[in-house]
Parts: sequence; structure tokens; C-alpha cells
Amino acid sequence: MLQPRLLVPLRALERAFAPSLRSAQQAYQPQSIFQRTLSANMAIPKVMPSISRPLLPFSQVRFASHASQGTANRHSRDPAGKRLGAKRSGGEYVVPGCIIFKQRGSKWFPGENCAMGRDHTIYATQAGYVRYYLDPERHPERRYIGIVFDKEAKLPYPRNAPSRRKLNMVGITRVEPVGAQPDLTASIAGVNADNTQVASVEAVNSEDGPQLRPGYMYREANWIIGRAAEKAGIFAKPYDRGNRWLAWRKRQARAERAAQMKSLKGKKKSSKKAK
Amino acid sequence: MRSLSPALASLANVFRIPMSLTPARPTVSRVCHETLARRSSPPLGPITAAMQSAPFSSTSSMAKRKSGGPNVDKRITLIRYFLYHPLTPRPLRFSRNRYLRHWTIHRAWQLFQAKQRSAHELELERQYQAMQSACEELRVGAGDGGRLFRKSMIKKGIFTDMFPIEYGRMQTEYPAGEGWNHDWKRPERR
Amino acid sequence: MAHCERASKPLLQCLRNTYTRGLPAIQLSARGFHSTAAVGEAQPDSQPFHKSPDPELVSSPRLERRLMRQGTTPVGSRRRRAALQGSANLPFEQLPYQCFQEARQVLLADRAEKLEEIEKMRQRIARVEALSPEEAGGKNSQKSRVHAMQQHLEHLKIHADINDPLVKRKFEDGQGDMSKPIYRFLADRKWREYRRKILVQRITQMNVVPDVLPHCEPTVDTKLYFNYRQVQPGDFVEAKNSISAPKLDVQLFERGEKLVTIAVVDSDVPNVEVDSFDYKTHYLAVNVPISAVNTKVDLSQLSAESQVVLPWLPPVAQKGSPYHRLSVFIMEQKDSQPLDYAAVKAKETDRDNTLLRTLQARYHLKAIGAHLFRTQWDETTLEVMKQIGFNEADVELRRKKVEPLPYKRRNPSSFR
Repeated sequence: MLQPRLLVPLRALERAFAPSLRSAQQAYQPQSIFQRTLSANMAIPKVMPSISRPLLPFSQVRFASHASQGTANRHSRDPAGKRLGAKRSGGEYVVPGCIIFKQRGSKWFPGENCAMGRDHTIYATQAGYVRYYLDPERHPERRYIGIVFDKEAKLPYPRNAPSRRKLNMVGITRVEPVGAQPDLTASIAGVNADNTQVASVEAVNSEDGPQLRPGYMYREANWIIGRAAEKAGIFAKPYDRGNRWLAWRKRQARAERAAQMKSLKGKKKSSKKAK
Repeated sequence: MRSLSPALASLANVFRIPMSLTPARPTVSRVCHETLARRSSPPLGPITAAMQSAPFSSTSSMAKRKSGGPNVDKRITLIRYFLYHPLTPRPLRFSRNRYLRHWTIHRAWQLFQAKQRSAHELELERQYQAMQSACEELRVGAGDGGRLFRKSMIKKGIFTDMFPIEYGRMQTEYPAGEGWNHDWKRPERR
Repeated sequence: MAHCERASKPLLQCLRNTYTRGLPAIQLSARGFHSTAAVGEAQPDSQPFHKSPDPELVSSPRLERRLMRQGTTPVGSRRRRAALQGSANLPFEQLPYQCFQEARQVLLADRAEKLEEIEKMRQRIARVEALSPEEAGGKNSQKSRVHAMQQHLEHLKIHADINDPLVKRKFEDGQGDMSKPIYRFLADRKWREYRRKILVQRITQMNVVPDVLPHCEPTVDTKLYFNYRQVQPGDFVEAKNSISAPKLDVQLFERGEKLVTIAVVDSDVPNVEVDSFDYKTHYLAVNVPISAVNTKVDLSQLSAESQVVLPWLPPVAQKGSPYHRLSVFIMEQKDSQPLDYAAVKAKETDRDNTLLRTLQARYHLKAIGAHLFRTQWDETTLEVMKQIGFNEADVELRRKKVEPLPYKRRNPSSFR
């Protein structure tokens, strides 16, 4: 393995070290270590017998079988895919909130009836059909994703045309807000005349009184319990920094309670010990 | 009185600020700490009050400013601190009359300069026109069919073997005292 | 007050000395101008100062109090009044500063030059106009030449006065005479610096311009007042404030009188049946004269016989509906010719189905000014609805429930 060119300075080095090393060799012979490290080719000491044994480990070589094993903290070179790209193609029907395109950075921009999320995701704000388009009057280079209401419509719309919008609302009978009443049970029946569902306020369990609730308990609704104090006309005093008398009383109460708890603790321990 | 850094002392000397009156500038970090500490006390400034009543806010209600004192920008505080520091030179402030006088003088000076510029340009225009008419006269009125004019307009060899004779002298608006150097000889070509 | 008098004393002494020694002529001439008498000279003929204190000069608190009891408030700060007591109160253009006076000479010379040029230009325009079209080389070329010369003339008129400090001061005080071109120019420049930008931004960002009209390039400054309160462009207006018609302040920056059509259009009337939005004209008036000096237009005071086509209808928004944009458009009539009121009145009777685009095309109008306010459901809307007999007052709008797309299993063979 070692080139003869390399051996010349090594020999010189050995000559310089030889007397002291020889003396050390007599006292201590690292045979076992030497044989373990160079077990791959034991021919070397036979070919170049002039090199003394202790100098050989300095010129050690790493072979391909060692290097290929990799370092401990080397990061993975191939991370998992992030599932980016188009989720809906052009012409597909989407509803509000439907994700159309996932991307890193704004490769596509939101056009008509679309919006961009926190991570540049393009999603629909209206129900309709997806269009991928360019709008050179708005921006010469940007690519847009938009939603049209008609299946055959084209984007972009002309610059000066009035915007096409949809109301997406239904008319129902207006109800007076009943803030004074203790229970806010009055709400709207969810189905309209033309059988459209209305997203109404929370009106679940509008009947008052205790009922069988989740958890197999026969009790009132949580929001009624929460409003009990209000119904009884009890209100928390607004906090006043300057009211030192109240602060002193609270502090005293807290200290008393702490002392009580401490004494209870001590009793328990002592009783346990007695057992 | 704590001693000042040499840079500050020299500054104070330049601005003729007596050293005994010079308050030492606290370090930026200390100012920041004080700013942050002061934030807990809530004096509602006119700016924040105006912000709250602004009808055009693009902030959503979820992201609106939490109560508990105005959210003062630290950078603004620092800018204000160093802007109004006694070591900072006073801004130039004029009374109204004095400002108007200043403005009058400024406008007059601008007007004067503009007139000078336009006069200069007119003069250059006139010179150019005069030269052009002279060339035209040479071309048409010399009686040789414009031969002389064509010869004079040949630009062969200019900037290739020698630079033109006009650049042999500094360009001035008027000719020199002696109009022509009669002893001039064309240098020998090597 | 002794304190402030002491403060202004050194300056005053210095000024007084300059006046008496250096410029007696100016001081003498100055006497004729100023209205308030200087205290420096005694007033032997009239009453002593403490008997009838001058509100411009009084500086002692006792005399001030007496003045206030009489009902006149002193002018300016006490320090200023104290300083004025000893000054000669020279008019601004005679202030004895050498560089200033030299600068004034330069500016005055330039102004005289410009006036000469204006005179010359007027004569040239008259000469060109007097020519017959054949002599001037065609009717169009003559017209364009005259137009260019007139523009140059307007340019010269502005340049003659723009360097005058007194013009600047008057404009800054808001006392500019809008019949003069220089004040119109300054006002236009100031409007374009900030307020026009805001207006254009609001009407484009809120999509008024493509929704109501295809183009609008505002050239007149429009202010809108409801109940004596100004409304910024795009602001929300409570329903009870907009019961009565607003007042407009339309500032024209050009010479002459114009006849305009004023329209207020709501572009967000919800229409549940077709699931879309409708337009509604809340006000329409034609043949409204405006000029640079006559700017105030009270929409409720316009004559019902010759101007108002559709009277004011208070805007209301149903509960739950998105905000309504009410855009005010000032539209110039072609060549400032009056429209035929009776014909317009007979034709435009339908508030709901008239688009402003149609009107614009039908009567050859051109939008020169715009304003915008918004309205939404608030506490006072219900009263207003009852007052005007709004027939859908008890209808509330709610969002339609969105049906989610059916779950589609994609490529099931790859699932493990």
C-alpha cells in the first residue's frame, strides 16, 4: 500500500526515533493493538521490514467499506413530499372554502372570487367553476386562479364591466333582539319556504328546564347555569386598584385558607404515620 | 457630574454647549428598557385615540389591539428621544412673515437662475442657427455647385490618424486674443 | 404684562432705532396704510388708551378683562400684542430687509414682463381669430392654434402671480378669490396633492367605478355634508342622519359656469329572487349650475319644478345585508346646454331599473366629480324604514348554508 517514495522520509524519521523506541519496545509491546488495526493486510511488515511497528498507525488509510457507512447526524437527503400543487383543475365545481391550489410562495394569485390563505393556499370564496387565467391588464406577469358562476364563462372579465356578484342570502322574518329576557331561547326555525337551510344561531335545546344532557346528567344547559348570577342580579364589582380595604380583606382570607389547608395536610400526615 | 466620552465632549465643544449642562446620553439599551417599562402605564395619547376612532381600519376584529395601554412603537420612541435631545441641533423655525420673506427671496433667486439658463440656451440656439446659415450660404451661394461645401464636410481621417483641430485648444465661447496661429505647421507623420 | 413686555423689549428697541434712522420715508408712507394706531406716538386728540383699549394692542390683563366683558376678544397672543405696541406695524411688502426688497424688485420686474406678454398674446389671439379659415390654413388648424394660444395665455396668467408672497398668504388663509386663475390653480394643486388621491382610491377599491360607471376622472372637488357634518368619502352614515338630502360643496377649478346632473345611486340593493344585487337611484337632478365661486349645492333646496327629477329617498339597509355603497356623481352636461326637464322627468320615473350608464349614454353626460358614502343596518334604521314606508322592513337576510361537496374517495387502490 505505501508508496516507496513515501517510505524514504519515514525511514529517516525512524532513524531519528529508533534508539528511544527500541528501548521502549523492550519494556512495552503493543502487539495486540497493532494486529487489530492492520488486520486487513498483514503483508506490510513482511514487504517493508525496515519500518518499525509503532510508526505504522500514523499512515493508516480509510477504505471504501468504512466511508460508506455515513455519519451519525447526517440529515436525510430526501424529505417527504409536501403534497403541493393543484387540488382542483380548471372547470371543476367548488364550494366556498374549497382549496384549489397549494404552493410555496405565490406562484398563483387569487383572482375573481378567490382568496389567499396564510400559507399562500388559494381557496374559493364563492361556489362556481375554477378558471386558471392571465390578466395582463391587472398585472403583466401574474397568473391568476378565479371562480366563475356560469360553466361557460371566461376570465378575465372586461376591465370596465360591473362586477358579477351573488348575494348568497335568504330573507327570513326579522326577530327583535331580546336582550332583556333572561333566557335567549327565541331563535329561528332553520328551514325556509323554498327549503333552503339557514345557518341560524345556536338554538339547540331551546326548551328551558333540566333535561338529560351529555354525561347522563339531568340538568340545565351550561349557558343557563352560566347566566344564573346575571338572572339573580348579582354582578361582580369592577376592580378598583385604590380599594386597599378590599385588597387587605382578600389577602387575609387567602392567608387564612392557606393556613387551614396546611393544618389539614399536617393532620392527614400525622394520621397516616399513626397507622 | 459624570465624565463624558471624548466623542461627546468634542461634539459639545462644537455645538458650544457648556459641559456642565450636558446630560449624558444613556445607552440605547437603557432607553429601550425604560420605554418598555413605561408601557405598562396607560396614558391615552391623541394619536392612539385617533387610531381607535378611525373608520377605515383593515385590521380584523380578532387581530385588534388588546386593551392594556397603547402599543407604542419602540422605534418611534427612540427617534423622538434622539430628535429632541439637547445635543441635537434645533430645527430651523421661522415666524410666518419671516418664512414668507425667505420664500420670496428663494423664488426670486430661482427665477433669476431660470432666466439665466433660458438666455444661455437662446444664445446657443442663435449661434447654431448662424453657423447653419453660413454653411447653407457656402453650399448654395459660392457658385461652384456646392463643391467647396462638400469638401469642407468630408470628415475622413478625423479621430483616426489625428484628432480634429477644434479640439487642439480649450473650447471657449469666444475666440482667443490672436485669432489665428499663422506659424502652425502640420506635424510630421511618423 | 410686564413679563412679556420685557421679553420683547430688546428686539423692539432695535427695530425702532432702525426705523427712525434708516428709513424715514418708508415709515412715513406706512402711516397711511395701517389701521391700528401705534402706541409709540401719543394720541393727544382721542381718548387715552386705558379708556378705550385696542384689541390688537392691549397687553395688560386688567384691560383685557375689561375688553372681554365688553364682548371683544383680544387678537393674537399677549406676547404678540405687546410686541406690536412698540412696532411701526409696517405692511409686509415694506419691511426694511435689503435682500427681501431686492427680491421683490426682481419679482415685480418679472411680473411686469409677464403682463406685457399676456397683452401681446391676447392681441395675437384676436388677430388669428379675425382671420378667415382660408387664410389661416383650414378651420381645424386655426381652431387648434387658437386653443394652444389660449392655453399658453392661461399659463402666463398663473405665472404672473405665482411668485407673489401676498397671494400665497391669502391662499393659505383661505381668503383666495376663486374668480382669479391663480387661486383656482393653487386650490387645484392642493386638492390633487391629497384629497383627490383619497377619493380615487376609495372609489376604485370599493369597486364603484366599474360597478356604477365605467370611468370616472374627478376634476371637481366634492364635499358632502349630512346635518352640517362633513362625510369623508366612503364613510358609514347612520340612517337617521341621511333622512334629509345632503348638501354638496362642488368646487370647480375652471373658468365659467357649468350645468351638471347630480345622481345618487345605490349599487347594492339585495335581490333574493335572482340571488344578486340591484341598482337604485336615490336622487336625480338636472341642470344644476355650478361655477368656481358658486359652489354650494343643497340637494333639498333645488327647485322641484325645473331641476329635481327624482327627489331624495333616504337610504336604508336591511338587517344582515352587506353594506350599501351610495355613490354621488356630478356629471357635466354636454357643452353646458340645459337638458329638457319635462322630457327627462317623463322618461326617468323608475328608480329601480335605471342604470347610471344608461343615463350617461342617453343624455351625453360626463362624470367630472364623485363622492361615496356607505350605509348599513343600525339602531335607527327601523324608524327610518317606518317613516318612508319601506315594505320589506321585517325581512332579515341570513347566509345560505353551504352544502359541502360529496366525499369522493380518490384512487382507492393506493390506500393500504
